[in-house]
Amino acid sequence: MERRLRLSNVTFGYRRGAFSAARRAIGVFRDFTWQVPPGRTVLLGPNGAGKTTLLALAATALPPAAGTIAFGELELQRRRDRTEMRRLIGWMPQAVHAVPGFTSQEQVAYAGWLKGMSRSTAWRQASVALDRVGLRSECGRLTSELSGGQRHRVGLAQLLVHDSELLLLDEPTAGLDPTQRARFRDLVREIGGSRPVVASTHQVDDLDDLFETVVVIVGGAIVFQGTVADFLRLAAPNAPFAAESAYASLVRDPE
Amino acid sequence: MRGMATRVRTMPALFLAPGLVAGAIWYASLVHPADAYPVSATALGTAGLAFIVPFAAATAAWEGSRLRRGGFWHGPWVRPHAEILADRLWPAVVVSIVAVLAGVEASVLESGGGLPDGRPIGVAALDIVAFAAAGAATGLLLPFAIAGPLAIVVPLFWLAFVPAMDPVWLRHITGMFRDCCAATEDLSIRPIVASSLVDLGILAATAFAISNVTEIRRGIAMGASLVVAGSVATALVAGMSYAPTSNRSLADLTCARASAATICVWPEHQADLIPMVRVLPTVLARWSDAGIPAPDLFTEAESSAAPAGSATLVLSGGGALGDDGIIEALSSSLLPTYPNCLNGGSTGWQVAEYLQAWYEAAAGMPDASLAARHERPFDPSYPPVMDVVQKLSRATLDSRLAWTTRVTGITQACGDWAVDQLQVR
Repeated sequence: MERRLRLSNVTFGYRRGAFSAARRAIGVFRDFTWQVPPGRTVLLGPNGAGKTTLLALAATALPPAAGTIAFGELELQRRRDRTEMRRLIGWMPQAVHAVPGFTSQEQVAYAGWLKGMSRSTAWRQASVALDRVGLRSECGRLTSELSGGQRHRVGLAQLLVHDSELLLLDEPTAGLDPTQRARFRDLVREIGGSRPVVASTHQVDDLDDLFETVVVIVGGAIVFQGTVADFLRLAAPNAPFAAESAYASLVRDPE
Repeated sequence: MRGMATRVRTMPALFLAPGLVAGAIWYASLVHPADAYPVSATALGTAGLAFIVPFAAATAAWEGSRLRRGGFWHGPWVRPHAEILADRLWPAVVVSIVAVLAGVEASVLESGGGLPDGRPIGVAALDIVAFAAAGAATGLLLPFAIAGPLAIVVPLFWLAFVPAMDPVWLRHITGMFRDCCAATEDLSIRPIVASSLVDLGILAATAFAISNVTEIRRGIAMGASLVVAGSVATALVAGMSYAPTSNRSLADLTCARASAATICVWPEHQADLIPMVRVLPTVLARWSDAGIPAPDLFTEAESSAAPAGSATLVLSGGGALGDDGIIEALSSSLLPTYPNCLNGGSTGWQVAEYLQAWYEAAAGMPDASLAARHERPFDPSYPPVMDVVQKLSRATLDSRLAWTTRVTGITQACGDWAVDQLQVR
């Protein structure tokens, strides 16, 4: 049975200020509950809505101040479960940095090793992962020499090098030109397969038939969750850009 | 394995390793350890720490910085932080320890061989681990443009400048033991414990620096680790001299009986014991005939630790002294120790050569050897050493005793003396 990721009554805030006395918690989520839908999900919302934080929490990169995060029977609070969750959840952060001196295969293999694979397996799987994202010919090139689009694909390969059950992509098309974005979406469609995929974006025009579910998050709360068709029904009649119109109906100040 | 090839290509610690090891060997060749004494040779061989530790810290800072820049530190990884850090740091640590061992081996070989002593090496290894961890933490927290220079300058200051500062015992908390050891000394346990404590304090502070606790708690914990470790360490070594030493255990001496006297030497000079046992009876008999009193114990032990009335031997070279060298060492052991002229003036230590030459001549050293050893007096205004010795050889017993008493008195006084006091009357 497919495992589902569930956040229950999660509270999380960033702390700002160098010293405790001057610190204040910037609340992002309070008593937040959400279950990742099956299939491919797009997470929409303005900047600062909490999309990146939500994905980082789901990926166990950030610890919640309160509440529970579970992936099937695995619970974040249990150390052994957390390790297993990290093995099963793939997370691609917004920025994919080049590791100084590493070729793309070395970088992807290192990510695989960090995810618990043996070095030899990670090295083999890195080659396979780079092949899947169309970078086989760039295996031996330094990651720092790759273009922005290619580096995004290296990020995706880092995600694929270990066998994840859930893929979390944070703004995967940010900074890419329209051609690269289209190519990247095709890639996500291909590699996602039957696995649940959650991709965040603040660009409504990313919305297309790639996704089955739309989730709109504003100020740390989900203001809409439904199918793409349901979402588009929110658009004003005869609006020339239905997705933008629907989004504007939910987000009053979309920057 | 592919991982190793990647490491060699991408890790400065590995591709700079040959240069570091060569530098450590070259540096060790500049120091001059006590003959064939492994403790001294090992301690001096670790003197390269002054540049080896900055190397370890800087290359570790580079690896820390690589983890930070690649986003590979704060990710939701399966492997724990300690394992990730160890994986990035072991090459820097291993290469640095290999460089220390190479320096030690060069020093030990220079000194005449033997097995290196584990204590200075252990402390050096702990120094390397502590500063490599601290360097990595710096790289994780700061841009390499800041972390790199910091990782070089701080350990360099710690290991090169602190040992040159007052109070002189402060150097004993750094793990730099290059003032160890004369043949009569051993590395004291106090600097070993003190240096290790400071290293553990640095490791604890490093762990807090990269922990997830809040900044203020982190700062307090880091400060407390360093202050507690530093305070205990300084309390341990406060008041010591510049040398991190204590008297060598008398149990290490190997002794043999020769006629009416006993000779005790350190293990590294054991090869000299048999020829000394052979030569000593003749020397004692000749000294007796010449009216020179001899003790019944000749020992390499520090004079303050040796039994009263014994003669302090200072040997160099293992088994290569020869009869003349043995006579020279035995004669030298009869010389008095000089007083500290703290209230002004200076001893007439320059005249001790006359005493030594007389004891050597009386013991039967051939004239040619004597002349070679005492060709010129310390000062041109002093009488030729060989002239005095020849006059003593022809003098009466009373005259010799009077001369010996007079010249010995010159070496013991903190005041003026006249050159004609050296003449045999």
